[in-house]
Amino acid sequence: MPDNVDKVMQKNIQQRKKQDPDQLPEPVTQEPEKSLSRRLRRPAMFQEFPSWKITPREDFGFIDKNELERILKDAPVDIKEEILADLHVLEIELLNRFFKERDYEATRHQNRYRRFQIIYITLAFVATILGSAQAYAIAAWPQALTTIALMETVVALLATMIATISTSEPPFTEWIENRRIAEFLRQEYFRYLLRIDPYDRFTIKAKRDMFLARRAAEINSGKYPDVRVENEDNDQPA
Amino acid sequence: MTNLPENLVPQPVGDPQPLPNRHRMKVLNAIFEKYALNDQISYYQKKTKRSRTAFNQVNVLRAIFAFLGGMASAIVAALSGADDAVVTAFVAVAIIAPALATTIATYSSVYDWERLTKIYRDALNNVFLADALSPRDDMTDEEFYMYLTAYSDAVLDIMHEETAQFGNMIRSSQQIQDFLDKSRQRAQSLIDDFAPPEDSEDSN
Repeated sequence: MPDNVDKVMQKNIQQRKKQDPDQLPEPVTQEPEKSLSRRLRRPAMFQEFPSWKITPREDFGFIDKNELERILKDAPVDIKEEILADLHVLEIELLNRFFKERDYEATRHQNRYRRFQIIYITLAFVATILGSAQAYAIAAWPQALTTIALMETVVALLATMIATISTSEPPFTEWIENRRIAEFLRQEYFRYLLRIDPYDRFTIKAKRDMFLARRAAEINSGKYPDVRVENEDNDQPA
Repeated sequence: MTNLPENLVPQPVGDPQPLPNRHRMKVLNAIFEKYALNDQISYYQKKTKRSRTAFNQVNVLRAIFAFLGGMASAIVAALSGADDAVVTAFVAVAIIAPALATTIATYSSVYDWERLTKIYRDALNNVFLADALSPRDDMTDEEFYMYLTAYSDAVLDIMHEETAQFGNMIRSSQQIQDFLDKSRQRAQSLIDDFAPPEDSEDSN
């Protein structure tokens, strides 16, 4: 191990901490660029305000094709072909089959959850105003008391109706579950690509690909396989 | 030797594995650094900064509305003999401003920025530590492979931990829950008031 590992580590950490977050590129997501730039122009407290419609990007992928070409430019032909073949498998078995849908569903339910919360907050605000107006009306406006009470009842009924509608597909649970699955799939993507545990034990590509397909399907169904597995699926000689 | 957590110290590979080609490792390192590590760092840094800014904005607005509400109440008390329209205007401000302050506080609780800032900052520090193990060009092929495996594994482990705890980060606001409970009670009492009696023996 290099002798100056401590110094290198400290230097790397200090360099990273000095980075200005605003100069960094935005994380890769399915959100279309127009929608993202519109959202980022708002004040910070409204940047995650829910929208009425979520439309995913059609050309989504973890790795930008132009950037990939730049990285692979000087690589030997056999290495390039190997990596492109791996990326192709990942696109079929993981990205297109599972990740895009799970990521989209997570975003959709997160948006639903926040939309419902904002609606309740708005109704609670109206109810508070009506309550205070009712207290004021007792002395100043007795003829308006009935109307105000009726409006308060309508607000309570609206809140109950919306709360009942939201129980059919509970947005919070769906959001968390889909996001968890999507992030596990994202990690699996890089484990396969770098051939680190548990993909480091396969020398035959077909077996590695089958293993990926199986694990991706398990993760998608909500069963999270261990990152480090027993030595049962490898193709190493005994 | 630095006191790293055990899972971040590069370990020699168990069974002898054929060492991957150096070119291949460098290309994969570049891809991982850009699309996993840097992407995650960007996410945590931006989230931390935006959450902190949003939390500060909310605090300022709450303070302003609370101040306006207090001032309006004091003015209403002082203007007891004044024109009705003026008094009514200040009463409206005295009612609406505190309600807005509470609404903004409840809105802030939906996003829980203060708590998320801390969680993302901690995750960011862990990723920096893992990143410090990234392989360098002056290493031998074996060292490069060991460091590449250790650092990518560590970064993915950190992401794994954060994902596993994700659901615990978000909590439904207590104020919203209380409002919904009261609304349900009110709706239920209406239904009970207008529901037909169970035993109606006398129809006249």
